[in-house]
Amino acid sequence: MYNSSLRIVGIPEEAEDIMQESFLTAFRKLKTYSGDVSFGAWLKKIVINRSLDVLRKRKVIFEELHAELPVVNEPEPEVESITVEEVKSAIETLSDGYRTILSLILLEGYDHEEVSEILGIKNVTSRTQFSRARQRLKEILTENRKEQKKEKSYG
Amino acid sequence: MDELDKIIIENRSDFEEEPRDGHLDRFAERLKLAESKRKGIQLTPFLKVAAVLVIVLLSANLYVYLRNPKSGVKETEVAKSDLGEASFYYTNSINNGIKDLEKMANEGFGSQKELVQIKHELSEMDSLFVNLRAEYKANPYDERIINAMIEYYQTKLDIVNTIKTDLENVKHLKSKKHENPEI
Repeated sequence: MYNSSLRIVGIPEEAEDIMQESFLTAFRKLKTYSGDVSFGAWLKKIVINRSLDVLRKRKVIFEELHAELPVVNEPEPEVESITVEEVKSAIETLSDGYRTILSLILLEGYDHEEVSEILGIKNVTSRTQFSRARQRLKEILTENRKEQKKEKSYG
Repeated sequence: MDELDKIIIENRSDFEEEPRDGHLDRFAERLKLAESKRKGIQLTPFLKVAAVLVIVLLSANLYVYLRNPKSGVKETEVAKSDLGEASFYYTNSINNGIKDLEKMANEGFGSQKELVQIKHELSEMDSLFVNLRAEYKANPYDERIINAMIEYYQTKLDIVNTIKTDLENVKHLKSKKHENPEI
């Protein structure tokens, strides 16, 4: 639960606060738990919704501005040799919106239909935003690799 | 699927981080605060009867489950840590409730004998829970066991709260009588 929140809000203190508040809310509303989904999934939804409320306060907008993806000529990073640590730190540098959509799909395991419902956006927007987020992640990974190479050559 | 997606999905667990040290203590503090806010809320005596019914139903459910542990097993995504947090919350609340009951007994509302009896009955419930915990160890992803464990905690907390409310009512009535003595 803590990680679900941290991946959205990006700040450990805030994630902890959200997790604790969500637990209290869940216990208070336990009687409204219908059992349609697992207890964990229900709780996770509360955590995610609270985390998204925090993002909304930061004025993060999930709607796309342009329908088409920009063409990127950057070479793709050699994915096979990429470490988890590299991906992790690259995700941390993504914007709030991109980090959220990427986490919801790849780490929380939601599909685009569910994400569109959670974020209140269209299914197609979810897909487009996800592609953009992934593209941006690759760009960051490539940039980081270049930096590393530069540092090595200077060293 | 994109190669990068694959790397992330296949290594999900490596993307997990532990909360900062002392988060459980901070949570316990928050719970205390939430509990003290809740104290003002009064429950009806009807709940006492309801609590007994819930115990009976819970025991019956457990009995049926223990007789057919394998039927209809459905995997759930509830993480062990979620149940751990839930159990932490309930155990804390129950212990706080019992402490309040002890305090009231010391103040003369409800006898020590009754308190011993209550504790004995609660510990009898615990023996049901021992069975559940053993089942949970064997089937950590069985949703029914997790729900039964949560139900157990809820029921125990309901009982403690009901008794507490009754004693608080007695206390309230006594103090009212004291304030308005009959002439």
